[in-house]
Amino acid sequence: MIKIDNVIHTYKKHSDEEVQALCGISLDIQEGEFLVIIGHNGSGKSTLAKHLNTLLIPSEGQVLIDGLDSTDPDMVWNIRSRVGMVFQNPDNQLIATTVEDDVAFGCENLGIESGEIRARVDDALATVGMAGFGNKEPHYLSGGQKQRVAIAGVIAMRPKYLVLDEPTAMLDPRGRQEVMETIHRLNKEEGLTIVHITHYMEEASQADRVVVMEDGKIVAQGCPREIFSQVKLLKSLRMDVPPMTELASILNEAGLEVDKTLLTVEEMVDALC
Amino acid sequence: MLIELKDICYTYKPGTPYETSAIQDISFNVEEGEFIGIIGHTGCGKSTLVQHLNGLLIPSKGEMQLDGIRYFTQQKPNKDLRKKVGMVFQYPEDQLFEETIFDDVAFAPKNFNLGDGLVEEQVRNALEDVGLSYEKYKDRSPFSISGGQMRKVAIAGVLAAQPKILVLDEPTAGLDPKGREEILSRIDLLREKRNITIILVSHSMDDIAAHADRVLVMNQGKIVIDDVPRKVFKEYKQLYDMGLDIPSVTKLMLKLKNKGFDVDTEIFTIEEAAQEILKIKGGASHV
Amino acid sequence: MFRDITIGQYLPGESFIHRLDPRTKILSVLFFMVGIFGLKHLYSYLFVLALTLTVILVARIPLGYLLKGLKPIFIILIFTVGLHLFLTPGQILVEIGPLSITLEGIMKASFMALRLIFLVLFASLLTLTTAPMSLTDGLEKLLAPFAKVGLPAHELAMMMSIALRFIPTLIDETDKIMKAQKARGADFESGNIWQRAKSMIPILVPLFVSAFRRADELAMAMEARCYRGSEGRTRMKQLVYRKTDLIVTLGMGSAMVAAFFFL
Ligand SMILES: Nc1ncnc2c1ncn2[C@@H]1O[C@H](COP(=O)(O)OP(=O)(O)OP(=O)(O)O)[C@@H](O)[C@H]1O
Ligand SMILES: Nc1ncnc2c1ncn2[C@@H]1O[C@H](COP(=O)(O)OP(=O)(O)OP(=O)(O)O)[C@@H](O)[C@H]1O
Ligand SMILES: [Mg+2]
Ligand SMILES: [Mg+2]
Repeated sequence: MIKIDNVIHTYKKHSDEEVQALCGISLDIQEGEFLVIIGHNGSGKSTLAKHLNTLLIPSEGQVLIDGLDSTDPDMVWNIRSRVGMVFQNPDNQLIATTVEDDVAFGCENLGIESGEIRARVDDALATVGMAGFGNKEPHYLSGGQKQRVAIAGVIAMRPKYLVLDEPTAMLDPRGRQEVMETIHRLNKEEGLTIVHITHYMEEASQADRVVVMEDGKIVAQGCPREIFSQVKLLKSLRMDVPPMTELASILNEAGLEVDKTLLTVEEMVDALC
Repeated sequence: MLIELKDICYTYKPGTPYETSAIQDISFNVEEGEFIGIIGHTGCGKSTLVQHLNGLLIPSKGEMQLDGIRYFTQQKPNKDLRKKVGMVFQYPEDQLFEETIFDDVAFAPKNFNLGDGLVEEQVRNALEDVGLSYEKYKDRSPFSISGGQMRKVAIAGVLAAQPKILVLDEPTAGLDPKGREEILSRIDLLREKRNITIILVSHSMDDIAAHADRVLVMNQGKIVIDDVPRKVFKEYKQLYDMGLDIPSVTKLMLKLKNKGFDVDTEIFTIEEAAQEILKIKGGASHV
Repeated sequence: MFRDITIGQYLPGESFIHRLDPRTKILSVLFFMVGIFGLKHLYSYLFVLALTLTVILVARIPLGYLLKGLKPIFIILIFTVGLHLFLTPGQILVEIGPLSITLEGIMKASFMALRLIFLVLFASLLTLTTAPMSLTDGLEKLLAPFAKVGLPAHELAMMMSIALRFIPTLIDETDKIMKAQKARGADFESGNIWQRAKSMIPILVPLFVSAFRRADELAMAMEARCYRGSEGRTRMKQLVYRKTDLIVTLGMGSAMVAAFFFL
């Protein structure tokens, strides 16, 4: 379990100006959970994500990963091998010149023995559906493929938690779908805990739990149905709701009663028939 | 006719092992004041196509005419063309370079030799057009503002040259939902206020459905459908085959029709859908 | 234009040359470089030519592809040839105005040109037959003895492999920024040298900004994957120095010593 307790994070800029990006965040992330964080640009999502694997440490408060304190310098590598992280720009996180060398990179840093790395790399590439691409150069892959390679590089390290900071932001719909399918499968089949950050509401509606952030604070959390039925609140936070939920809300206002918490086209069809 | 393209082909790196024929035999016309949406799966040649419109790429084959300027294969386009067609690339904030927002937005008008007084006026107009206050922002550094604001400044930097045609290649990627809607409604406003012709490349069917009045569907370097949105989204089977989607409200209407409801399936916005559902279900709600 | 350069590109393959240890190949190129500047006679060039052709054949690299890689050095080639052709004193053959071509000049110019061509061909062969990662691994291993005197061998090798990885990305980036500024009316082609240099600012500034951001994000991504330098790091692909490697290295070394002193 990851326990975030009253975390405040302050960035110091060059001009001694201070920006408080996180203002007292408390959040527990359960094992096996699929958690989605949404929030407007600059609401502190990335800052929070970087606290989960000690890329940043809290200015105040505490982050415990399986009971390990993120401020303890001796625990840094232990924590990072438990919490894998995938970033937004697929071009800026692939390090090596071939796919398999890149996937091996994390394992090599963990000091794993060569034959074992080979096995893990092949395994990880198969899991993300990229078997057979081992010798390709990252430059020749599509965006969705690059992100899946990045995910493979992380899961080859066998982490318990996978944090993804807008991995779909730079992808086209097909690439986005590839990535989403991959992480849902990892969650269901491998039992990986997922923390997924996104601006796409349809991705959020597939989560176990949605956390909404605004200006460094958590302003709402709950299952997607609870969250998205609050159309007005979300719109006031620069967020959106899935189109069917919005439609349901308009229909209700016009006097036609349908379930306000529905999320998908299928549910809407059922509600109307 | 404002824009006319005839049998345009473009091949990257001809004569090398990396040769790629990106677009083939593209022909279409655009009238002044139209809002054209271009959709298609990744790598189908959308960006390649739009880069022809202001001469950044010169067709390997074919000819085109743009607001009276004609140009052909291998003929160097003149500067007038660049001024007439504003081009907003993906992640346009990557092009910012000046020390102040004023200087950055003034880059294009200065390059196109507008007079000094005019430059200032254009910068002011452009910033207000994207919804940023001129007085508040002109002296700030373009690197000290938020991502969404940088995007707006970059778009202002293109608008400041007073283009007749504005081409936007996925202008909303990476913005939060409100930021996306802000940019798109600004674009609608521009068209109304300044009668600018808009060409929008997007992966979002909902955005295209809500804003464009004509849609070009591209597949493997060719235009396969060129029609108004209601006709385009009717071809949902063909779109699915190309890996494209249709707006979710259209999907809903199609499913309702399948279930035997007498509904209009040419519906693309949530408001329209609500109207239509209330029409068929209206009776049920008066309990 | 950048794509024509064969130096630095890798053509995957399974040939004998491909399978040699990168250290063997790096050392061989080193020997070759030294050796080639010792060559004095025409027949020694024939020997080197035969050697190069053999390597090309064994590595199964298309000759046309390899020769295309010579294009970028064409200007240097002409410059060097011109220099030697006109500036070598000796028996005058032709006089064109103040310039004179001598027999010695012709000899020297063609030797110089041949040396350059062989050098580039051989260096290209190294990168064409060696995956960039294994090239940097080899370099790291070769430099390892110097780490004791403070040479950051691992860091150098890592930097080199990252540079290789990012060259295509940076080329794309430059292309994109150039297009964006051209669309805003920027003109990179006209004006005097000063104006042209100034016109590069709108490209260089965004390029630097993005390069720094990239570096930042890359460092973060590496740290997130537990990178902490060479300490405790293992490798998936371990270099194995076989007997054939030893034979090739020694063979190449002695061939070049022979070429240097006796041919
Ligand atoms: N390195 C930094 N130095 C100073 N301020 C920073 C830094 N990184 C982020 N900030 C500021 O902290 C706040 C939160 O930023 P953060 O990147 O966490 O937001 P976000 O929710 O991830 O936004 P986005 O949706 O745009 O990715 C913002 O106001 C931002 O300007
Ligand atoms: N500079 C280039 N050199 C070589 N090939 C290129 C270049 N740019 C694009 N291509 C190729 O041309 C084809 C069309 O690319 P283009 O960028 O126009 O597609 P797109 O529809 O804009 O895709 P996306 O939705 O991913 O932006 C692709 O196959 C691409 O690989
Ligand atoms: Mg972020
Ligand atoms: Mg594109």
